[in-house]
Amino acid sequence: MSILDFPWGRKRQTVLETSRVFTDHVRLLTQGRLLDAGGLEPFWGALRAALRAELRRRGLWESPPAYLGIYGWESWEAGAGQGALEELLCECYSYIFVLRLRCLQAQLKVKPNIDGLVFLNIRHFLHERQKEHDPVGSQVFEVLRSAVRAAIAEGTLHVLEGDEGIRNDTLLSFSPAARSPVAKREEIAALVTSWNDELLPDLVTLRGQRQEEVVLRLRERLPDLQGRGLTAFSFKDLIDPLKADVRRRWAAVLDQSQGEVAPQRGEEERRSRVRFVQPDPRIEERQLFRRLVECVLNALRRLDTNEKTREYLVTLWQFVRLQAAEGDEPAPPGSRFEALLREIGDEERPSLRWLAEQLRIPRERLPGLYEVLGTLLKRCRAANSGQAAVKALSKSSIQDLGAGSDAH
Amino acid sequence: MPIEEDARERLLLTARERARALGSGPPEPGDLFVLRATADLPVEWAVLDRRAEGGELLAVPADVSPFAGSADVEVPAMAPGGPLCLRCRFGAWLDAGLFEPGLRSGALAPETVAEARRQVQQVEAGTLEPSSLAEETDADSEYRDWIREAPERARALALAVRPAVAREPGSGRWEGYRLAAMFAVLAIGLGIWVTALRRDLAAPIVVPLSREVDLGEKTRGVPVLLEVPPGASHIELVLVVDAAVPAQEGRFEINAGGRSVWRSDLMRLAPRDELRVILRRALLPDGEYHIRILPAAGGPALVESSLGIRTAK
Repeated sequence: MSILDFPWGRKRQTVLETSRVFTDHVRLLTQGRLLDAGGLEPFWGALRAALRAELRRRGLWESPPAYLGIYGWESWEAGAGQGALEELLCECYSYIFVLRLRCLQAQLKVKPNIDGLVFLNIRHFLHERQKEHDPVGSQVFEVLRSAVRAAIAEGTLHVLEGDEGIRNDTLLSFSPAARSPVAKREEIAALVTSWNDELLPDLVTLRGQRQEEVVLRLRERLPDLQGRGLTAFSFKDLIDPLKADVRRRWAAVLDQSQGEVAPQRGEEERRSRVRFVQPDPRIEERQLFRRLVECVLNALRRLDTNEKTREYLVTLWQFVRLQAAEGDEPAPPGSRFEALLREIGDEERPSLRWLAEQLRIPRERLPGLYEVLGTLLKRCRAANSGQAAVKALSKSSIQDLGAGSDAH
Repeated sequence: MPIEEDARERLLLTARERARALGSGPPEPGDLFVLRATADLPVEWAVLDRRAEGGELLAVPADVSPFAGSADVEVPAMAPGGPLCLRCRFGAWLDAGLFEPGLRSGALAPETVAEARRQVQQVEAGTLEPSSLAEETDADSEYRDWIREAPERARALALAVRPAVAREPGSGRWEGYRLAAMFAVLAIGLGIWVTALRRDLAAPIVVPLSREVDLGEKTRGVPVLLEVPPGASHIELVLVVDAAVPAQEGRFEINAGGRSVWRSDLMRLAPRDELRVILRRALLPDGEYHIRILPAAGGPALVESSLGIRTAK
């Protein structure tokens, strides 16, 4: 027996009877009309409430707005009426009712009420922004969730309450008979963060087909909780300390080379130093960034070198990519390629000692690996912009690189 | 960063500019449509090709989810029809009659159609060479959930539908279709409306039901007969609370011969609330069943309806 509660399913039905505010707005737009004064506040109020609810559901309400690319605010509640939430609200409106209006209009042809689809689009909106602006946190969530789902599928872990798709509010237990979570959050946090000694950097750098490897390793760690008598807990009890610890270690790598650490806040500690490298919200810029990331990954796949060197290069590239995507302030236009270059270049490289330790790459290999990545990046940039390649990558240089201490 | 006072107004005006009437006409490669058969899902269909004979169209489901996996074609926001993701792994040859001119919803650029066609061919030939980023998406659990819940279901639904021979305009939402294997919309019992969706979740239905149910047929008080294709692994029921049932805590139950075969969790039930239930066929062998709403406080069923299930011959 299985019950499927589709993301748009039951909520749509609830909305059907209680609200048509979004549907009415789309209908008006289709007729070339705008909301009148009396309809404006209920509309914005409904959209704001839905956005806030989804932020809470995703555990983002307590996180800095920078995790979603809203900069200059410490919290969502700051700057009442003109703060971070209002800024996100406008972007959310644009995402749904400007960019995706055609799709909403299309669904109106076969549905009497599309309010549920607006809720679905809010989820898409936040998911996309989170992946974009908080790639480290998103990846940790993805791996832990996959590990928990695997344990549930095997029957070793059970969902007591909450979203069966596994969200922050999901209550988990090693025994289906358990009734409430154990209130030992500090003990859970201490154990969970110790897993990172073994899981990093793969927890955030193993992607694609190889992601399953780190999911399996994390899955094998979960019974440690039961061994400590921690038999019931929420998913949030696991994900928050795991993410915070990854961020702390990640930040430490950079802080070794750049300093300027501001005080940390909240349970999700985060480096507050203002970085030179920031994401750019423009669509074209984002697309170019993605093309560059993909181009380098594909080039690494085809590179004529041994597997150990390729593994080091991929790990280092994933690190560089994450660093270039993360940031606490908006970036000037055209900055993403520069961001990648600076991450690779000498001036903003983290301490090699720390990097070698965190990424588990022999320190003496790092300069050569950086050089290869820099060359590949410039070639990819040239390929994607029509510019001539800055420097060809010679086979001999790769072979020289591959002759390093692979046995390490 | 302060919000300018007229920012919202500008957004509203921009949205109005984007809201433009869409043309109509016979389906052609490049057209986007919504289909009645998949109206419950947040998908459109992109027409990619037309068979020279037989009147069938090659179409793929498309949606606005931000995930783009190895078999998908992403239509950028600034391209015609975008932003959209074409799910080329779920392409199907569908009868052109499914594509009602009035349900045309947009158009794609020719280069997008060409790319999607190539992608479908590569999927079919097993020669797809996924990019590194697409492989990352393939491994994403949210992407997998989405694919299972939207395009995969959409394909199964669309394949199971046969278009009507003739369609009379203005005669109701569902007119124009006789759903050979999909929906039987029937009013049953004292207050539960059951929309029965019959299909095998593991694969598209290829054996049509021997008996068709005309949509709009209402048989209040008479047991609904659900004919299930031989070999179907699951049955999907959509249980809708009748408008006459007052809002309260309760649960659904399916009962056979006085024995409960399935119960939902306790939930807040309100008029017109809907619960989708997918049950293993093994749990519901051929026979007579009673579907009930039981109050949380205990006591007799609030409403009860009868449902007969049998294997289609």
